[in-house]
Amino acid sequence: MSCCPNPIHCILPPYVLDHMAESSDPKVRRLAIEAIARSATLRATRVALSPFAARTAIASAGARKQRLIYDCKNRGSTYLPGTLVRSEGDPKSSDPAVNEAYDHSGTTYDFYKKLFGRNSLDDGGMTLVSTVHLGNKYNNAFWNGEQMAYGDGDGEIFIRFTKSLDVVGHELTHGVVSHTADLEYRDEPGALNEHFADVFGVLVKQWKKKQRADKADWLIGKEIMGPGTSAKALRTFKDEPAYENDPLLGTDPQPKHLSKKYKGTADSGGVHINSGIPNHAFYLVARALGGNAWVKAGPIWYNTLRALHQTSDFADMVAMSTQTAATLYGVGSAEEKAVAKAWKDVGF
Amino acid sequence: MPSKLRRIRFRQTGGFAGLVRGCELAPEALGAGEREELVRLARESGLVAAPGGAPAPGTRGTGRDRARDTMRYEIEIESEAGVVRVVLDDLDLPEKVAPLVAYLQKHSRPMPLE
Repeated sequence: MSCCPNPIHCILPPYVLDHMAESSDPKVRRLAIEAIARSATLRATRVALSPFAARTAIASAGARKQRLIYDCKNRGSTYLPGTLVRSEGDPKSSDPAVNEAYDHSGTTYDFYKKLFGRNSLDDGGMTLVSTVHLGNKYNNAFWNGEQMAYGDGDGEIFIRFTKSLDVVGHELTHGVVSHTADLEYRDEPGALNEHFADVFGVLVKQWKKKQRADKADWLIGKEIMGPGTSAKALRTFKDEPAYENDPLLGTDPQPKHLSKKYKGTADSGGVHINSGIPNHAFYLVARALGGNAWVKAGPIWYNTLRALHQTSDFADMVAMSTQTAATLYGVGSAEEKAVAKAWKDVGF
Repeated sequence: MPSKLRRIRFRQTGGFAGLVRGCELAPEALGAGEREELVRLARESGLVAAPGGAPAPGTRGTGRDRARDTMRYEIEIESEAGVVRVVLDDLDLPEKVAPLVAYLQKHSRPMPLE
């Protein structure tokens, strides 16, 4: 076993690490969390400790998922990740948010592993870290570059964000994107980043529910909408608004055609807005190919993601996805034609 | 002693939902209770300070540039001392500013895209 000079990684008992994980010093918290993640992997796989961050370097020998769920107890992001409340293999919690984060991140791991052979977000067995109960009535969920964080919602616009499998799948896919194309989070590359997160979020849900493309609802965030809004969801892959003239949300701003692309600066150049254009293209591909969307459209999009780069724009996406369909299914195949037609239908 | 508060403009963008919401509040136009609460929260945030003063952002989250779906908060506070503008996000929102943001969020409505 290699020896790391950091004493935190060596002999401190779990209860001490747990306490340190709640330290007010973010550096102490980070070191403690790395040690806890390392310890969890050791118990499962007996892999020798790496001197580098556990979350990015240690591969589970049996390609098994490793999940850690934390509770921020309604404190702000400076307290991330919070208190460890459920580790891989632990029994269910009495807290539904904890169980949802655990179950949905596990489903997302299984999706990527079984369909694409991908061992976690980094394809190296990266530990999946989730924090629930972030902030007070926090109407959001995010990926901070290393972990997921979920708010409880204000009970009016939104309810707890862990309730939705496609939301969890979306956030985890941001991790996959960061370890593949690593699309910059602005303008068209950022819209593609959001697009892939939505695509694989919705595919995880359809895969789990065994839904055909023609039977799925193609909605994002349906389960987290609160009683104060009439919106059916936050986004839809279909060519219709997810919500219209809602007193709390307004009207869905997503375009579904290139001619209506948002050109302003809000939302980092419309990353959550212009994702509507490639989202609709994916829907058209999935419907044209029929059956289960994760069988053909899924691999075309996954392999496209792996071929793109940080500054890839919509034109690159059109070209690469069409080429990928040809590579996977043949030049002139029905699959290639479906992809080409879908892009044409949304204005390319 | 903080100078008299005249107006607060707030805009929130980004987040998982990508919503654009905001408000513009003038204390004098609010009821007594709301006015007192807004003035108190603004004072306690430290944003209404000496001319040109603004709080340093709180401890930044690790890899802020790698974050996805965080919300961005634009706050402009106009007082007798001048105008203070800050842009914060979920990973660097100071604890003392968070209650003011929560109050402004409660008073926010959908805003048109610019």
